[in-house]
Amino acid sequence: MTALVLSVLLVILILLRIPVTFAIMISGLLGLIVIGRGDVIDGVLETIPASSVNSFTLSAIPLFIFMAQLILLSGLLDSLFDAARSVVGRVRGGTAVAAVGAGTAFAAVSGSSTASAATLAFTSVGRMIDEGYNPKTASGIVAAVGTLAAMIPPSIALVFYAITAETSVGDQLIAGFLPGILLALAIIVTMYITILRKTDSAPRGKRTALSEKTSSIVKASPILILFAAVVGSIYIGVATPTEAAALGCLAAFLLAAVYRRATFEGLINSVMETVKSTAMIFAVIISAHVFGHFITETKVAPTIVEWIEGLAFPAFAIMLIIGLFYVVLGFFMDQIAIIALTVPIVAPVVEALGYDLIWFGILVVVLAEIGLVTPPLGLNVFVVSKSAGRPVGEVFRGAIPYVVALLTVALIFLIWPEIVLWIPESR
Amino acid sequence: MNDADHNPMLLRLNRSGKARRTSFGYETDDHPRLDRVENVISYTAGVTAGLALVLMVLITCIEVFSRAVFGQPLGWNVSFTERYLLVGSAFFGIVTAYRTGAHVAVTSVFGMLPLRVQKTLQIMTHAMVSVIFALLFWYGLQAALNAAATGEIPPKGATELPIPEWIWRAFIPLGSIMGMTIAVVDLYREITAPWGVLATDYDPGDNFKEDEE
Amino acid sequence: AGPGVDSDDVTLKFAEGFSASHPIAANGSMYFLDRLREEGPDVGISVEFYPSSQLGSFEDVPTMLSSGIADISDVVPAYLSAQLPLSSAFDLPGYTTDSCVGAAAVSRSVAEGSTAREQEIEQLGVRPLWSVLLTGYELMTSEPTTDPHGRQGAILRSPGGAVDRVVDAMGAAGVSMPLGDMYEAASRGTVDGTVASPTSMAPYKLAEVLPNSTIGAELGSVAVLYSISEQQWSELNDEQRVVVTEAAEATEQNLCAKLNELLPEAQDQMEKDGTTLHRLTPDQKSEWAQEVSMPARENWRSDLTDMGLPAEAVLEEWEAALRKEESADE
Ligand code: NA
Ligand code: NA
Repeated sequence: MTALVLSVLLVILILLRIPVTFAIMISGLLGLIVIGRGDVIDGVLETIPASSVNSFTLSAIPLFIFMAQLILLSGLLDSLFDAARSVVGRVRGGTAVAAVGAGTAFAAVSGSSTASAATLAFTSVGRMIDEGYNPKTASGIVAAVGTLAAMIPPSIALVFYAITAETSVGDQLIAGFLPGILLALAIIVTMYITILRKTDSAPRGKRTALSEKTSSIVKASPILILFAAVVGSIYIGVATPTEAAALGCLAAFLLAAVYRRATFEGLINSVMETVKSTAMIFAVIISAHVFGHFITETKVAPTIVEWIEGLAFPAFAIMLIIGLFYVVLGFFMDQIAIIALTVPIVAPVVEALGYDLIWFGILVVVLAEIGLVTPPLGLNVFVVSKSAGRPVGEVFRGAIPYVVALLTVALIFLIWPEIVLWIPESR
Repeated sequence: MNDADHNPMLLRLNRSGKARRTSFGYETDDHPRLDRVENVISYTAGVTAGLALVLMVLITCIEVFSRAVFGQPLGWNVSFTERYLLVGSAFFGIVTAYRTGAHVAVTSVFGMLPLRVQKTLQIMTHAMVSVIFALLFWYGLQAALNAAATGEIPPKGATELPIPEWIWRAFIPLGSIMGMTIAVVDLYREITAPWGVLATDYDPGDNFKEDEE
Repeated sequence: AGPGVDSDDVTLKFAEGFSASHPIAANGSMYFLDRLREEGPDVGISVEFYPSSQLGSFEDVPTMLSSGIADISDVVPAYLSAQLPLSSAFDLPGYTTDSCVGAAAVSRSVAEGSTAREQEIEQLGVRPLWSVLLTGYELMTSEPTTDPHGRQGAILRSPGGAVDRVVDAMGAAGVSMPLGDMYEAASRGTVDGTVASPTSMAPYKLAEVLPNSTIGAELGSVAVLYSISEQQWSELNDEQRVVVTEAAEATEQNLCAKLNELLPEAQDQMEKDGTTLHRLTPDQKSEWAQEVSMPARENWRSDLTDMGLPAEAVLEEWEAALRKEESADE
């Protein structure tokens, strides 16, 4: 009961514009006082702030963010977008398809969904609107495409899930590959469905000569170097998945240098943007651990687990309810907070129901990604709105069809877990 | 004013209201001196966290190269990254993130509230953040002092570097007191400003009400 | 009422770092819990159990105990190298593979009046209740070897603590790496092997990636000191102390006997999963002792002595305790 009251308080504080991190921390500390364990606050605050970030695997988070910032600096995404556009040519909705294609390729070297959406918006939304796309359609697509970065490896969300659920980081990352491709297809299909309903919103692409196609592909080919640095170094055994992130940063830096974009100012800006995003994520992790300590002390988690196991519902129905719970959380919280707050409690239930934790990681990340494009807290929508200079409400409305698409894909994963587990289990 | 300024849902991200944005904070016409205090703290913390990030990249790359090419891993890189670089980037980075309004927050409900309620909430927020930073400072200090008093130091000959433990532990109270200073200055500025003015809503997005100045 | 006279009911919070299914918890902590749940109510003791580091990590255990987050928890010197450097003596290689001899010797070496107790354990404000020695660490590698220097220059994952010195003595290079990265790293050849306990590694099915293991190299142990906070202890009355102490003693014996059964079972399991076990001959064993165990211990002794710690005294007490327990065993 106390746990429920404090969780409601947490949501109220978040809605009152208390920064999410501080809202979580305050609710956790108040909760400890309410249940009469105020005397352990000293111990909690002497241990958790240090030990919740004292994990080497966590270093992949700042490193993947830094890598994305350096790629942004290098201007590679512009080349990717141009290449995709010229390859697609005179197809209806060509530029939008190109944005999805460039976003998918970019996802293979970017670990951050939000950074990916911001970068993509900067590059492509303006161009799509200029070509006559409905601004709502253009910005909505980009906000949704950004979410691919959290599914196709590398992915910060999957790394953090693996740390929290204690699954293998390598397996968890590789498991995201196929679902990521499916998500990309779902986004394209959704885009065409919206286009067919309103033909004016998606003009044809530009016809391009073969030579033009070739030269633009060559210009975008350095993405392969980045991909090789991250995935290749893991595959040939030079680096662990955690270390590969640092090699990715090095490769992205060299790329920016070769493209003559690595100015002192640009580099400082990349570092500072990374520092801020990292600190936000780490602060959320620390706060979530404090709140988690309160939840542990209430002993509510084992009660819930027992209760669910005692239910006469089939496992599938319970998983469906858990899935809906994640969609609701996504309205108010960001991915890291959702994973840090819920996975330690929900993972044992999922295992008890006979589901695989690697699979669950994919499901949780898809569902938490939906939260990135739903109000009131939809980070991808916020950054797209900012980068593209479009109103937030418009982007939220434009993203609605993709929310449906992501939900459908999540449902498919729920019904056929083997789709997700096929690659990790066949290795 | 473009469409975006009328929007009901905005994150406090990089949007200039009355205040001018700088890389590490804001400048206003009301309190240039206090601005400078806050921005210098934010700058110092940001540079420190930035160094930690760059070191993280370098040390990890050196570890990979020296292991793969020479068969000579550093060994100490993991514990050094865990203790110094991750803790450093978290607790110094949080200062800059807070000062530049990078923390994630929901603004839609706030934007619909009357100005005085907004101001009350703003004061409440600054007070809560100050208290949390103060608690992190105080208990972080206890942990660091305790490590110093008992002379905690990893023994020689293991993979950890034999550096006294209180040094990395001190990053937590140091970063926290810097964050607390910023929050307390904001609290002071908000309280001392007239009732009709939101004085510390540096990045108000559309919540900034021009006509109510 | 002062300490020892107070008869108030008490709830002991037991924070277990291992998961409830880990052999150390399943045969130790769970046994202790059962005993306390049976005999505790008569003297006003109830107990709450929090497994899997729910209340805090291994590194945080001393603070958890001193701040009252938990009353009983597992103090693991290998995870607390800065706070309990001397107690890592019990983890050094080549002493014993018998968990019962080991656990009893550890308890003797941390008893009141011992150097380790006075030098560092008392400073943490904790009181050891029962000890565990998870013995029989072996070298698990991609390439087979029975020679102590056969993996010279190899890159081996070290779980830390005393094993760092063992890896060093083999002429290999130690890396620390989260256990979660281990399988991937071994399968890709990022690391050539690890030094680990068959008992705790058997469930990880490493055979596919590290198909070779020595048996009999005795490359170290991990000591666990299940402890109660001095604060909580001082609040227990005499009857309660007797119940807790007797339960703890029984737990130590039950657990060590189980671990002694589990070690060969775990080795068999590894073999069944496809690991080639390289059982060392007596000659090879003494070669490993000469070339690896002795230098690792010597290195530990001199490094800690250089830091101004009474390493010599702790090592002597530890060796004397082992001799005593071994002769009592015969
Ligand atoms: Na990605
Ligand atoms: Na949302």
